[in-house]
Amino acid sequence: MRLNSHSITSQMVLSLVATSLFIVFFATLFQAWYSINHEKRVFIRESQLEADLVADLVTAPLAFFDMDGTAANLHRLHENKNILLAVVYNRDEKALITINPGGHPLPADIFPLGTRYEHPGWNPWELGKLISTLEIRQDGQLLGYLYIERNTERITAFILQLFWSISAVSILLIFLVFLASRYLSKKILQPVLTLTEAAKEVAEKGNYSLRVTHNKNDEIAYLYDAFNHLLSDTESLTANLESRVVSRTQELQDSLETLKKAQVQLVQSEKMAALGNLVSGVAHEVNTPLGNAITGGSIIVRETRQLLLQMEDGTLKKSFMEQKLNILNETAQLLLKSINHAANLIRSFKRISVDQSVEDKQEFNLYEYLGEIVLTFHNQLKKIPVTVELEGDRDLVIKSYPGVYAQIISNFIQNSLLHAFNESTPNAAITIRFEVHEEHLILSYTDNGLGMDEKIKAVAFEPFTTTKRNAGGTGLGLNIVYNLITQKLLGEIVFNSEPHKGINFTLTVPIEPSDPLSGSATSSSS
Amino acid sequence: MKRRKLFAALLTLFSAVSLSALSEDSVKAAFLERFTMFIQWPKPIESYNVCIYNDDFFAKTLQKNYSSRLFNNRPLNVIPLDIGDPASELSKCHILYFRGSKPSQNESLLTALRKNNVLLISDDSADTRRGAMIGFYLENNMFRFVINQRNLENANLNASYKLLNFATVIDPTGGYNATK
Repeated sequence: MRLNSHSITSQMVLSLVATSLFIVFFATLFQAWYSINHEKRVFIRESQLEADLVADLVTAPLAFFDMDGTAANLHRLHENKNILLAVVYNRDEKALITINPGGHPLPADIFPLGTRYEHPGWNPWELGKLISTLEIRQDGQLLGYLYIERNTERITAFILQLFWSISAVSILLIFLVFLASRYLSKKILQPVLTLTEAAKEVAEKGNYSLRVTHNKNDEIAYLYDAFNHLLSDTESLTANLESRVVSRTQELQDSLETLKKAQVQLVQSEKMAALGNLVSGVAHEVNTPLGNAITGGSIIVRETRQLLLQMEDGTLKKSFMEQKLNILNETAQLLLKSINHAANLIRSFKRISVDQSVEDKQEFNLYEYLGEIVLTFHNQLKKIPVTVELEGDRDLVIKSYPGVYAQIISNFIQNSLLHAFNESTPNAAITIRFEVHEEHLILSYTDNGLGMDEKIKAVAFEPFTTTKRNAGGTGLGLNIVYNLITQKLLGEIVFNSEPHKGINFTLTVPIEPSDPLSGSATSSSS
Repeated sequence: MKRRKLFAALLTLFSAVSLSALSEDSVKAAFLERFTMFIQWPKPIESYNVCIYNDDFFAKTLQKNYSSRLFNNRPLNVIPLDIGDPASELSKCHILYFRGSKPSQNESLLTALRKNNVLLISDDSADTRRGAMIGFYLENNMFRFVINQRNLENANLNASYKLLNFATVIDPTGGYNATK
């Protein structure tokens, strides 16, 4: 097992080694500190003991003034290699006997009493000298002093030896920890690494049939079981997924087909409904004048038959003849009027189709043309009366379909006359205003009539919308206007109206509209 | 040379004493004090009774030497004794020092002295064979002394091992390593 390839293993080994290093470092530091201090204390105690012994030995010779005996006893210290200086003083601190192998100078001051280290510097491993100063006493009487200086090579040697042995043991220990942690990491982490490998294979190859095994009954075994369970679940899910996707896709496709068919049917039925509406509207509108015409026709037939019978009998009187001719005349007029109305309706239906107009674009003076249209309503306008005001550029010439404009304005005026005004309307007025703005003709038509309520406004442009069906309204006027403006002139129309406040239509039309319907118009006109 | 060493030592010890006093008597007087440092009497001592047998001159010298200072930290009573003083007188002494002349050493007297813990010191080291505990002798111009450890113990006197280690010991009792 290479450490680099398994970071978790190397992390574990590193952690163990680092922890061991930490512990070993502080343990050895403490041990070294303790050992050194212990050694120092032992050295002090031994030195003190030796000094005490020598002091005892020299007490009697000193007391009985035997300098030779004192010197002989002091020289016993000479056997000890670490002695730097040993001096016996009398009670007045005058040196009596001196051992001075190194030729050291005698100390200026021998106090304080006791044994202590005298440090030359601050290096922890250089302890300098160990100095002992003892009183030589007998029965409470001070006889003199014993002063001993020793070197501390013994401690220094001990520290060095300690350092080397600790280093050697530490290195060995760390090495052993390294080996042990490697072994243990491998042993403990092997199942995890195996699991990792398995997970990797599953992730890369999608091999969900893979299973992992673990012999022991521990947490790892639990993990393995969970992993295997997950794999088997995933395997079954994956196997089912394909078939489920296929069936769902098929269902969706079927639904889509059904929807498409339903849509087509819906569109078709909508068309049929619109057509039905139109047809029923046409039938309804045309029925009344035709009915009138039939009535008129039957009256003429009846009256004519009565005249013929009296002529055959020769009983025909002039007065009867006059009466019947008057009836015939009135009835014929009614008949004509009804048929005209029906014809008009049929013409209007025809006009609903926008491509009914076959005229070509031509240049014309808009102001003059609008004036002519207004003039055609001269009689009707005079009846109420209505004043018409025309505002705009008198010289403006546009290229467009003049018939379309005529139809639009005619519808507006007819609506105003039919719906907005009656004969009691005071100051009835219509204002037609136009201007050119950014290549668009803006034309507004305003009256001060009765206006529309909200209900009518919502359906104003829809076909067969009228409030005056009985008075001859077809309900097609504004629908025709809307189709002409949006499809023929490619413009827009908006209107504002409130009840009893008149109405305003505003048309916005490109000045030179293209002619998208000319082709189809030509074909349909044939 | 050794003599001069001793001389110098004594000089420092008795700096207050005149040069003429540094005789054999002065040395021995100093020795008497030193003995009291190393020997322990069974009963506590408030003042030392030092009896000088038949040597009034030494008694005076001793008295004079310790007239202005204590004798091993205690007052000193020098008791001169003469020939014929009763044994009861002898029994008062802590130290009985006899020089040229000696009391007749019959066994009853010695028994009495032992009973009273009297330290017998003689100028003749041979006396330590005859009941004395300490006897002086001269070696290389220096005063040394012999100690009879058995006699000390018989008088219930206890000598420091330091003293026994320094002195020449006869009749060792084994209490200390007395051989030197």
